[in-house]
Amino acid sequence: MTVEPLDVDWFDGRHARPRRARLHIERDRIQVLEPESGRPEGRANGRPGRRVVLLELPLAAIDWPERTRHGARIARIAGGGELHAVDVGLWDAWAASHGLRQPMLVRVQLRWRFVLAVLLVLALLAYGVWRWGIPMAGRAAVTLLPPVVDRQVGDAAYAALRQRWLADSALPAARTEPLRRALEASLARAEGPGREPLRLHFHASRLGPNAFALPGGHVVITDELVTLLDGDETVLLGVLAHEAGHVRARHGMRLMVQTALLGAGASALLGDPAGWLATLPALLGGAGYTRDVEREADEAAIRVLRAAGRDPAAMLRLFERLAERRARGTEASGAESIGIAFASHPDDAERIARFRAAALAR
Amino acid sequence: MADIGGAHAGGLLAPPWLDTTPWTSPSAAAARTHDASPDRHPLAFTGSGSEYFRIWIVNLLAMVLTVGLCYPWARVRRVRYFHRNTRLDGHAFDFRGEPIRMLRGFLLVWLLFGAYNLASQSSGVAALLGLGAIAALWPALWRGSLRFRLGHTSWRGLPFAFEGDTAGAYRAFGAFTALGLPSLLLLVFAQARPGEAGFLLPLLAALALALGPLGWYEVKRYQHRHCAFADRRSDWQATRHEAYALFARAAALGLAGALAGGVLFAGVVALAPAGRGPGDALLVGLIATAAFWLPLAVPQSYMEARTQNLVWNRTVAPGLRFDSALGVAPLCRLRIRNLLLLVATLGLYWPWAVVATARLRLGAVAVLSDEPMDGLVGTLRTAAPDASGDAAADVAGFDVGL
Repeated sequence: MTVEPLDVDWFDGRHARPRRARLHIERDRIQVLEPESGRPEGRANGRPGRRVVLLELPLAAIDWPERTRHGARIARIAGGGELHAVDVGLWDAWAASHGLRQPMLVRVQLRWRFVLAVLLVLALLAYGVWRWGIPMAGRAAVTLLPPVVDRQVGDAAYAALRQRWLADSALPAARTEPLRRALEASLARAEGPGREPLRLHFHASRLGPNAFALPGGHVVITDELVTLLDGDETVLLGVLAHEAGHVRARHGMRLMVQTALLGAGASALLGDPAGWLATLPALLGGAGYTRDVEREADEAAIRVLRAAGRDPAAMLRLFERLAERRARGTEASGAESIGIAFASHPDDAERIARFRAAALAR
Repeated sequence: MADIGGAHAGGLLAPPWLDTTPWTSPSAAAARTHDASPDRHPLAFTGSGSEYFRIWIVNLLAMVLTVGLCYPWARVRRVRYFHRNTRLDGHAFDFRGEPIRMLRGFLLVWLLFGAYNLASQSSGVAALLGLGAIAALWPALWRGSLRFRLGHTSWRGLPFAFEGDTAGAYRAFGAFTALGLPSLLLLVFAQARPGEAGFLLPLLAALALALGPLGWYEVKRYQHRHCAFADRRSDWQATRHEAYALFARAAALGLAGALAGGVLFAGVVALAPAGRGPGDALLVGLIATAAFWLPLAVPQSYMEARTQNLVWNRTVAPGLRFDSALGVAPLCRLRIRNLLLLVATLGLYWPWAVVATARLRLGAVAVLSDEPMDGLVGTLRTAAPDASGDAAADVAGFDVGL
């Protein structure tokens, strides 16, 4: 099968003026011919076609270009010089007829259905990393961090919070000491001896009824929460056990590591667009991690309550009281604003169901 | 008058048929082009967003699968796409960078920054030392990347070259070093004594205003004075005064933009319905941040357009000039549109944004040539910068991913 030689613009690498030429491939050699040479009819008639060879090279000396929709076709000649396509369509057809295949990557990107497949694979990979990869990496990274780091972070955070949000507690020792002892006793029964003691702090606060845990063993509970629960020791114990669960499992550090990994991954993936855009997936994804962590803490609370011989269903009273407070309009709910995406505590309904199931399963 | 004497410089590397070429003889060319007005050749960008999206997505998957190791290959494909879609006088540019060579530079820079990150986490002193090391190496790395990038670009078969030396690169960064060292000292001082640091911000701002434009000027001058193409060497004829004037106007616009942004920010926060919790506060925060950055698109576009115009209008070579007429308003409109679409598509619009920006910025530039561009002739220098004589001394054009 004779293939028409291809018209090209040949640049020899020293002059900016192109030279019109024709390309012809024979076995593994490529020839750059004078424009009028190599007519197949000439040879078919027995007369040798007039062929003036300007340049002859092994095929490997030419670097064939990718097929793109708009760009130029420029083939580099080893040692200097370029071949530019005069007609891109003819060039592609000629290259195809000579078996000059495009690299696989290019063939993939030329067809939209492959590109959509690539998008799908990327989306699945991203989901997998977010859902399983990063939490696993977070857990692993935290085991590598020495506990002294937790304490440093926690101490600094506690000091900062005390400056702005926490005031001295107004509760008498008669109310706080029994709670403290009950917590120590329940933790000793649930975890066994030899664990680091928790540092429990009571404070009055603008935050309202709340309790939270900081890395390194600080657990803070506000006067308002103690008052709201009317000294109901079981529920208060459940809340403190929940926070203790956060501390023992080093959730604070884990969340920090996971958020950092998520942010780094997001900015690596979407690197080029506006930097702050990359924080959006980190925020959305990070809230999901918080929900996982809260679930684990709830389960720890259930374990401690059971070990202390108390009914986990008592926690339902906490949600009742909080709901009453919301209904009275004295506090905002955190969970319903943007839907589940930005919520940091799982829906109250989910937690209520969990505690209720824990009670029934005794 | 341009010297087109290369036609007779036949040496070992010239093809044997050179003497019988149909190219116009030098004298004929010189005689023909005596009319006053130069030929105007505008640049054009022919790429499309959807095509670049496909390249970008496939690159992304490859990067994820190889944990970033295929970055040099991805980069070469990207740069080549943009080069081959940039047309001048009927022919496109080409990029001949070898990904293997780029891998070396890429690994080096990655190690450097990784070491800096590790150091900065262990102690402040280590961080400072790391920063110092990077700052000390930076001009050499930057020059290497210029050599690589330019040396592997070609048009009509003729390669470009960057001929600046390492000493020049360090001199070019002189102003920035003069700015950076005192700033660093001031920052350390501020950390040590936060109470007495009240005068710090105005001092830093004054320092930046005084030395920043000078630093930019020196760097651009180095960059545009040592480019070579065919047998032409470039020169840059801007004055320091022009640089200062540009930055002063941009700073004034920036201040106005920041004020407007602050007003918008406060407005969004004030007008937002009373939040019902952390989720609402977050959303309001995001919208307010976007509202703050929006007015800043104006000074940013002003800076971008005017610096492009200044840099290119003052770049000259024998027989060649450039004309860059990038308007601030079209660029500003494009930037805002890109920003809004990026946010709306969570970043997926990015390939289209980059292509649209390239089209606008390249389309504003034209080459003014006293003779037809066909008459340009290359010197006997070989194409690859690695083959240069001082390959031992210079870290030889490796790409740092800039």
